Amino acid sequence: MIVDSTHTRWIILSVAILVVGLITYVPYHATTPGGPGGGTFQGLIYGFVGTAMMVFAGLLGARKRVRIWRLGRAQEWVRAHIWLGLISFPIILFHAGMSFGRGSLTSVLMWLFAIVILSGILGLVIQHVLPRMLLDRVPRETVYEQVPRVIDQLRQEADTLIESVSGVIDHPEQPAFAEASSSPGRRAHDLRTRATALAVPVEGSDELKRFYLIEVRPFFHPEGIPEGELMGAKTSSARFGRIRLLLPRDLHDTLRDLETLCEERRELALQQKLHHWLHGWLLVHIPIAYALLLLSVIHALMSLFY
Amino acid sequence: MSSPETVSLNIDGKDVTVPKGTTIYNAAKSVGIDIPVLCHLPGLEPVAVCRICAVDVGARVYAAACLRQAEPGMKVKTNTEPVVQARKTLLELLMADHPVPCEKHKELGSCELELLAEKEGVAASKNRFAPPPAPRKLDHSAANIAVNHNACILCDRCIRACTNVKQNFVIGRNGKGYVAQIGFDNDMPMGQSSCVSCGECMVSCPTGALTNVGFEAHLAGEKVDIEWLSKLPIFQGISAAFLQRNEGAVVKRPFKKGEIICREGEFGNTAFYLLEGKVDIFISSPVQRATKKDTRSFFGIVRKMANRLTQAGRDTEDPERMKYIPIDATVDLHLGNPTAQLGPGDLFGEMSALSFYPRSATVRASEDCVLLEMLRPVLQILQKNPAFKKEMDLKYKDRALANQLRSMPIFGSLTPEFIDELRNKVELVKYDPGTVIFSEGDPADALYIVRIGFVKVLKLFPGGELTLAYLHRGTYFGEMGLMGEMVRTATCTALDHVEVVRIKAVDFNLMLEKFPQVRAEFEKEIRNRQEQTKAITQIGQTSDVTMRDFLDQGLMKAQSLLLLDLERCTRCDECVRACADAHDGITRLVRDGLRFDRFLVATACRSCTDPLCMVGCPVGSIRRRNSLEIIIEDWCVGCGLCAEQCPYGNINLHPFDTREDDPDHPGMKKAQVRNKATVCDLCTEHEEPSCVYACPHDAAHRVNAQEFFTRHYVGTPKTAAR
Repeated sequence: MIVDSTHTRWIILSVAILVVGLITYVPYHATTPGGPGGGTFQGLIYGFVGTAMMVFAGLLGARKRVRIWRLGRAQEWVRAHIWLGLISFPIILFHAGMSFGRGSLTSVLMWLFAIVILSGILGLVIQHVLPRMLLDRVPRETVYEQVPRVIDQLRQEADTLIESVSGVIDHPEQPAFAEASSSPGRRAHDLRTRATALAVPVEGSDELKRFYLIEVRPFFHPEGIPEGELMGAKTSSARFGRIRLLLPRDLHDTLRDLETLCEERRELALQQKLHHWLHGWLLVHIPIAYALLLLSVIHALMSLFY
Repeated sequence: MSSPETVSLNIDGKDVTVPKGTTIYNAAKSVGIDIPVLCHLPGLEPVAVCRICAVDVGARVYAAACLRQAEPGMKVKTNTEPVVQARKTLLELLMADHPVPCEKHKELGSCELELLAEKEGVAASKNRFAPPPAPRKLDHSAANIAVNHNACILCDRCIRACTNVKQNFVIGRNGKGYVAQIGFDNDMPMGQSSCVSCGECMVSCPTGALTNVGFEAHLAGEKVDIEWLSKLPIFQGISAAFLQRNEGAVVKRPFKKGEIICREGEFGNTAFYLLEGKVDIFISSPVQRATKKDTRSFFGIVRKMANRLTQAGRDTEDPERMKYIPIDATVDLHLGNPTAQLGPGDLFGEMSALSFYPRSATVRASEDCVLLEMLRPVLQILQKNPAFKKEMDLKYKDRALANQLRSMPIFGSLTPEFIDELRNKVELVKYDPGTVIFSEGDPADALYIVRIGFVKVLKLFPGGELTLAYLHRGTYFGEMGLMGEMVRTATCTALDHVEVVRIKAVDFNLMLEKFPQVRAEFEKEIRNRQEQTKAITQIGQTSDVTMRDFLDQGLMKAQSLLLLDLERCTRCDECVRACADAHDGITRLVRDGLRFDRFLVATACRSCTDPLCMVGCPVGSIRRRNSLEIIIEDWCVGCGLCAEQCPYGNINLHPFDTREDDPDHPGMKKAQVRNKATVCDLCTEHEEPSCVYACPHDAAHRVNAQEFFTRHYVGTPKTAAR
């Protein structure tokens, strides 16, 4: 969610709540004997309001479960989640008398809360930056779940490309490709391989074939994010440049096509990496937020009854 | 005496007065003078390439009578010695290049060149000109037409028939001078070309260059005795020679009780005529939505109730929806109970045979029965046979017309008595593919109801033409002109083999007079159509954004695009999940597609202004609502034609489980997996499509493409996002 003019009313509301909180807190802080605390009437009010905001922010997950229920547009819920969630932290601080917890449970609560807020802010920053980065740097982006399949297709294209100049490539099938071997795409590739078996190797193609089998083909492994020279745009370009010097001119076009396939693979690797970052922060934010809500309930019960 | 509108001339001593623009050939014909022709065929545009019709008009050279128009005071001589001699020389030249006798003349004695040569006394044995040094090639690549270039006299009749009559644009001329010959798709073998085997070229050919090779091996079934076939009432009047040559194209098919004759959704190229017994015709796909979710479980019930709360599935209450399902037979099926019975004399499968559409319904023998199964050439000849046409027209008027009228909500208040009266007044009219039924600006003289085929409705506007709609069986057109200024407001063209019910203006007006409710419905419908037309033409006229990409990606034709702003989209797939949730677990959008600027044009229906997907649906289950979005009705038979025709891959077929009759165990059912097509319906039951509503990042937008991009690039303030 990008923070833009559509957030104005939520920002105003949040600032207003904060201002009201501050205005009421300052005299409360100055006049309460022994300092403000969660157990006072005003402290309980802060606690109730802050918890209500936290619960509301937590309801976003539930809202997303019933996507088509007309309970307000999801984007409005997210805006509310961001601003009410953010403002709930100072309100809870008012509730705690600006302390970071006086007992072990409250300390844990405050630390968890801080982590939730910080991870949320991090997520917001990520959502501002990474989608643009994906747009600019991964023009051939595909559906994330399809990435391994697309990589396998790239490998098949690369195989065909090399076989067209060097005859059948003899390589041990890698275990990761075992599934693909039984797929229709793989079978089609096998047929194609047989079809190109009669292709006469171009003179000087041995070097290209060796380079492909040792360095490039492992780069098209459909799982994980590969490392090595081919992963960096500059280092890859340099590596291809060195290989180009070793090859006859007739093979330069093939090498350029192979380099293009590597570029595409690199884009997909970047997509995977960015995708992990784009969604990875939620692995911190969501479980801790739920833990926070659970512990908050425990804290409320303990404070009220014991 | 000539007037400004007529021309007077003299032909072989006879004074003739004809309308201005009449050719010499037609003028001579009008006074009983027969000028021989070869390349000329009434109904085809004259081209005067053979010059057999050469006549003396007193000029330096002889004129071609088929092309040259009569002129005031012209003196034409058609039979003087020099003219006859010139004609004989031309015939000799043509015969020198022609095998004598050619296949056609050998079999049927009907080669027009050889007949004319015999008549003019041009004997092949005394030909002064040498035959060609080497024979030309034969082309037997097509299944039903043989091409013998040796017999071709390059009269261009086949080219004009293919181009002007059928508008297939397959045949042309290849090469120059002595090596010139006709060619299919720039000299491909006929069987590999885009020829649709309509046979129009063969019918037009004067010689044995294009002949029917018969259908012996094509249809499985009991071979019919031609003599017996000729005696059937529907075949009376059809030449025995034609039936002989097409004996493989019509077979007798006995079926036992319970046997399936054809199955909905399968592609077919034959029509069936019921000789004995009865058959049930029905749609076996249950009339229901494709769903992936089990509605019998606890969660399924909860979800179903939730769907009711969220109004998902409101399609079934659509007031625009028809009550009958149009099928390829002389009956329509009631939506509530989609089954009917056909008896002796009934025909079904016409659209499949004529235009290769998928079967619209399943047909099962309800008792032991015998059918004639026929391929298109036989069906077309039958349709031209007055006895058959009369029988079919009567059957349609008796059985289907009333249903068809009642199935259309607009005619809901017509009384049975009036329908009976109307039945005797309407005409059934056929149109060949490409024929213009009427043009924008023509006087409005009738209302049309589509009985077979598809009609394209076009409107001209500055800068081009725009498709307003594709009309299928059970829809009507022509009412706007009748109820307005008596002038056609759009051009209607037959897309394929079309048959329409024509209600004359006088009967239409009588109907409006007698039934004010019908008038009110028509007026309402006209308002809707006018709004729709206005909306579409506005889209067509907004041309601020003219980028190549915009055009290349077909965005110009999109009325409602699902755009994902890639600067905001976190690829969370909430839109896809929401779509699945809103449509019983089956998503109608894929978060992938072409990029335009920073937007991803998601794979979801665009509600095109030219919705090609609507052409060819055998049961008319895909249609456009008045509110412009495309919907697929629940009675879809899953043939997949719409999905194939959508240029953007926005229609998908989804499997679902059903129980159907078990052919091996009559009376029992067995589980089957069938397909249904699904397309984005824009969640019209809601204010906003679910995908947009559920997007947590304000990245998904349903927009009018032109308005949105105009605003985006030019900054024109327009409300585009929905």
